[in-house]
Amino acid sequence: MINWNNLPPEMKIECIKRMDLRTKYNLHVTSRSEQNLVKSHMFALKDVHAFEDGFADYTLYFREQNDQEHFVAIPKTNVKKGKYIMDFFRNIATMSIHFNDSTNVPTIIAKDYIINDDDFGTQTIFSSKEKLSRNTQYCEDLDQQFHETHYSRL
Amino acid sequence: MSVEPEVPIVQVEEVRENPVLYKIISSDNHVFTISEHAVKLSKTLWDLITNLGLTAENALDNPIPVENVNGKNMETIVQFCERHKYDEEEPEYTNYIREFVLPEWDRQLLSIDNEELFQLILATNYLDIQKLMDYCCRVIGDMAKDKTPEELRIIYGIPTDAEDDALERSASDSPGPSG
Repeated sequence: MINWNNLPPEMKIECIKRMDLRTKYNLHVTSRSEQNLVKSHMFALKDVHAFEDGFADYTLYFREQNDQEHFVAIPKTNVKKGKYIMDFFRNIATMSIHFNDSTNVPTIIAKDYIINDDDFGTQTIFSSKEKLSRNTQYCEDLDQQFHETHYSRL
Repeated sequence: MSVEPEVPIVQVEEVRENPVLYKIISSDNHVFTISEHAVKLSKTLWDLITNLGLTAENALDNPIPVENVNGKNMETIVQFCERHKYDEEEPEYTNYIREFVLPEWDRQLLSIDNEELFQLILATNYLDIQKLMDYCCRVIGDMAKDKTPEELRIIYGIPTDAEDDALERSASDSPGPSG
């Protein structure tokens, strides 16, 4: 029977390119061979931003090469400050952390990010254009006004 | 008062309806006729036609055998190429996944069972038809949407790591080819 396994790796990767991040992730955990394939595709994210709210959640923002955006909310009750985010990005090839001078909010910017088994273990993923525009603005200019507006919507 | 010039108006569609035709024979000996504009979507077939020196005069007398593609897949491919032979280039998408919508006609054409779809994408790859390749990859990717890893294993026929290991062990235990 002809199925996914009969496709050569380059064709599988063409299919993977057209999957959203969550689907890629689900494929990646089906078996070691698919994991290697998804990782070899290196769906390098253009942008990865992590920012911390003063009282509620961490929010992670991803933008894939195809400009698909994702937001991941991490309940703060589940994580120790900073540690989880550093674990989350442990496979990132390049990473830099910036602190906003006025709010002291960390922003992690990363490229060549590779997803890990437990990245989305207990989190929820959501996307919306509204959140995107707000987060893009946020990433460009970490102002307190946006910070409050954004988190009031979570 | 203006007078309409008596110039015959040649409809573009009329010109399009008189194309050069080529014959293709599938692996199971089904014969298909395809227009020049349509066959150009397949880089493999068009290279073959060019290399064989087929022309409008001798094209129908020299059918092209395609041994890697069966009649069922070839029928789908010919339908697709005829449908899209005059298409303009796809626009640049800023967000392919969100903005690209598979046209309804193509969605219907590719509404086939999974095994047929995987056979079709292999045939498409062999014939090097980029647009159909894009569409097939999109449909295969969509198959996986909102599925759990366990469901994906079933849909795609992906063996578990344990099954993979067992296969590797049995392959290494079996005697190699003699002689």
